[in-house]
Amino acid sequence: MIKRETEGEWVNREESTRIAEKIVRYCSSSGKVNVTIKSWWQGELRWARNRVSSAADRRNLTVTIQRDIDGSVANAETNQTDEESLRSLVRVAERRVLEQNPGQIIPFNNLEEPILPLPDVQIWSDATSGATARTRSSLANRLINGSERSKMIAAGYMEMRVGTRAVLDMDVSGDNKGPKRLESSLADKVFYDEWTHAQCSMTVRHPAGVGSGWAGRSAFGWNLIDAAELADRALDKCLASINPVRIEPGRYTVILEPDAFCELVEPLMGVAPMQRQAAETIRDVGSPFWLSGDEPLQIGRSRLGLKVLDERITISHDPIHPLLGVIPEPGLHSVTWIRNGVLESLQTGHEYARIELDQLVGTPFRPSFRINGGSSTTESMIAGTERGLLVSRLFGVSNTDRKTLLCTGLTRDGLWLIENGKITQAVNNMRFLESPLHAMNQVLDIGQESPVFRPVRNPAGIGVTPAIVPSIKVADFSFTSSIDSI
Amino acid sequence: MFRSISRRDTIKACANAYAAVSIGPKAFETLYQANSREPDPYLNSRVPDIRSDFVREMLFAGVAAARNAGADYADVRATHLFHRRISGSDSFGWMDTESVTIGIRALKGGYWGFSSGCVWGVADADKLAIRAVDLAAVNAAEGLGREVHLQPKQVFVDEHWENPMDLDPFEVSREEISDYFISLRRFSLTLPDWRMPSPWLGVFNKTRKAFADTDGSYLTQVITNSAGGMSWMLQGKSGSTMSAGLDTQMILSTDGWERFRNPSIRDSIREIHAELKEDVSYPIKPVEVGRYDAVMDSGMVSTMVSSSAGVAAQLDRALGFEANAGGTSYLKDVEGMPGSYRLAPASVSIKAGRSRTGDAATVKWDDEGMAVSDFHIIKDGVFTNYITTRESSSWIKSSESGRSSVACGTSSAPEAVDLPMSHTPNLEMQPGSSNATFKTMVESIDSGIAVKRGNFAMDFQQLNGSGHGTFFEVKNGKRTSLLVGAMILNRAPEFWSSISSIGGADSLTRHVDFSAKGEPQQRVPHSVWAVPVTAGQISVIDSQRKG
Repeated sequence: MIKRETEGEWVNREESTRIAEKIVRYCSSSGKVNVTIKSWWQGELRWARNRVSSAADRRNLTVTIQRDIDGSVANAETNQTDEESLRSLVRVAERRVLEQNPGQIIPFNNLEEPILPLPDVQIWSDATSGATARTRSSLANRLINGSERSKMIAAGYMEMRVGTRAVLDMDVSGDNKGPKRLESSLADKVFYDEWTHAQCSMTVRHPAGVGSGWAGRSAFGWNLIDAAELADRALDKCLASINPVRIEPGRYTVILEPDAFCELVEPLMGVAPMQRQAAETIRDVGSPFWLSGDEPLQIGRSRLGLKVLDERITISHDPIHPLLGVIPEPGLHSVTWIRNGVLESLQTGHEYARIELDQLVGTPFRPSFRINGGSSTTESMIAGTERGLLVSRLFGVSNTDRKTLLCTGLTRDGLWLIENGKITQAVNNMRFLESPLHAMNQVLDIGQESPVFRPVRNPAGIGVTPAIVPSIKVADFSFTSSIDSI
Repeated sequence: MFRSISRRDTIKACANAYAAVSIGPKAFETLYQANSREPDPYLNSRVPDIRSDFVREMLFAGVAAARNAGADYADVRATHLFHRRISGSDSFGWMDTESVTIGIRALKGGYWGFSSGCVWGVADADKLAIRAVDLAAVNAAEGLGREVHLQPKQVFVDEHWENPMDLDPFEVSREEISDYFISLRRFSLTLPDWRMPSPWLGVFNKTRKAFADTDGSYLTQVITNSAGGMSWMLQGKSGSTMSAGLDTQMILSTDGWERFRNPSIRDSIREIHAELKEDVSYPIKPVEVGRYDAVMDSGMVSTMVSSSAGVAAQLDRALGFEANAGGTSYLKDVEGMPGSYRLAPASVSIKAGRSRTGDAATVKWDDEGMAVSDFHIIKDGVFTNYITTRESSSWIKSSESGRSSVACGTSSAPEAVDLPMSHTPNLEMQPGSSNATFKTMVESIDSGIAVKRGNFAMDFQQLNGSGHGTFFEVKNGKRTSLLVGAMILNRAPEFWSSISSIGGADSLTRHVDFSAKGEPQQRVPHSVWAVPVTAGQISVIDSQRKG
């Protein structure tokens, strides 16, 4: 293992265990305690107008405890790990528990979940944790050079992050008369994960604002990101997008590049649309996968088992896939949501699975997915298009109807007209009004899959959110208006 | 190693405290407990008071370390944020969150370095300062030439400010807060036909912040803000369902608890009830695509003010510094537009600033130690000023006029762990001279639409937007039906130039928006004061019917 310049910038397993042990000792009565310690370090570099505009190196942590005493649950959080702060944290949570009526607060984490295996995921890269400020700086200047030489202006961002999470979930045994005396270390009871996350993206614009191109990629490993290729691609797109012309809105055959396709399907892959509970209500509550309800029988039926998309579409997630690792959660198994267009699984919590489905393990939500690709290339799809549009990227996608998942949003950083198998000109960006469900029922061709830009926004959030998505060619994609923003 | 306030620092602080005690209770109070009011028992008393010598020494240690490491300029910020969230329905729960951070920004050779963490202490301030200078130096060595000119500023030393309020929400017990919300909820349930009153929510933040820089500044501030909410739903006979809440009454602000205790809130609940009851009573009809005269309520207008005049006027954005993040700006001719670009009729003026008591972004000094001052973004319809920082204010200098922009204290960041940047300040759209209100403006149009509880979502240049909300058809000055699926498409300049009337002072209401920018993204709140407007020939489409 290489010596990391960043060594010691995050809370390691031993420190996490020590913090957790202290918290358990400070608990003043029996009950349950859940300790979650998250920490992160990240090295950041931004550039704009062909110069590095800021370089940063930041770190922080959170210690969150949840106390459960006789069914009353309370939480408190700090980012300080000295003894007095941790004592104060426990006192605040316990005081809050005592002020409640039993069972009054719904716990954030269900402490009653069965013990389930953790998947063995791949989310750590020495290339990310070991990248230095000089690495970032040298690379950024190389990426800027291409734009500088072409008299274009570049803005971009590069980030390397290390995150950790330690969770201790235990009964605080013993009497109610004072601090606990732990007979042994809790090291074997603390679940500890470390992960890395890297991202690089770049926008190249014409100095007069008449063209713009973008490329980006995120991954757990910095070595998985070809930054030079991203810079070349962003520059090429910018040069190809200069002086777009206006075309009439309407329905077009579109080729969505992987990043654009990913942004279109985001509203489908969220927590709400894929929730089985919402799809099996007696009355329709707006789930796209609700089928019917029977009031006398008090039964709701979802579309599970029915064809909902084109048969070439398969959406799945396997946490042990080398490019789809996420922070491991108990019971996070491989799942196929939609297989060959047929709805095969929906998200279920372990509790719903046990009570309603008589299954021990649910199918938890995961912030990662894969849409299987085909064999076509973007070039071959263009060659096979008589008239259509090539879409580079989408912006501001928002849902206007929960049931149909009809969405509106804009194209950004490159939109091109395809005529007779060739890109003929750059065109003005347009507003679209389309449903990912409809689009994936109008599939003409599927391109090769590739990892996309899907960075984690909040360092203390859910860790890593990778996705693998192909480019796709879709008929009758609806555009409602042309816009003049570039 | 990752640790909190170091032992050495604690010993040092204790020694200072002891020394303070030895010279009398008043000095001790100044050192650790400057605020003589009874402290909240839930606050972590271990964290030194922001006005203590401990914090002062830590910040100046960081400044000195940066200077010794060769920084041309450096500033050090420390924040202690205490966040309290109280929520419930007929009972309540609460959660306290504390965050203590420090961040050091250094300039060397025209490049910036920033380093931050969550450990308060002299040794750690030294370490962060050296790292910040190293980061700047690495980029200065690797990069092409870059110059930074910081606008001169008045230097304030040992000044302190707290936002004024009558009742600090952290001095009000959680029980009193919850009892009050529960009483409001119970009162609301006495009104007929509500469906599912939402759980109520109170959110309170106290940010203690300190700032020092190589210019010699030393400033401390305590900013307390609060927000709350409760909403209700009502279903009409035609099947339409609508919800509304205490949006303007409890919006995020730096007012104290007294604003929540305003007796008129019960009147507001009655008004919301009556309004919702009327709104759901209209028959539903599909929207017909076309152009309409439209009356938009102040909430909807506030989102256009915030985006097309607030976000778009950020100079860094206009020059492409945010191109890889949120986007650029339609106000892109940075030399030619200020003072000459007519965006709106002369009746429209939009002021910006951070000095107004109670507003969400109000402070006395910004995160560069600049005293805040008010300025116009739009004056009599003409775009006049960009939003700038000490650095970016030098980026505009017209060679012909010699005019340059002036930084007015708009640099900020959520906490010290975040790099400060230029964020949108509070905005105020000047009301019209008439007594026009949303209601009278609707009454004055023969045929058109009215939009309530709406907002605009703008594109990556803040130029083209889509307007969403609750749409009504208006005939002969009266609302006649509820339009389903309606969505406005517009360009910001056309929106502003199509305004035919604006509401009067009585219709001016405060809203809140968040300036979201940067990589990694930061979100900083600001207030937006706006009035309802009537705009002509607004393009409306059916958002549920594809083209």
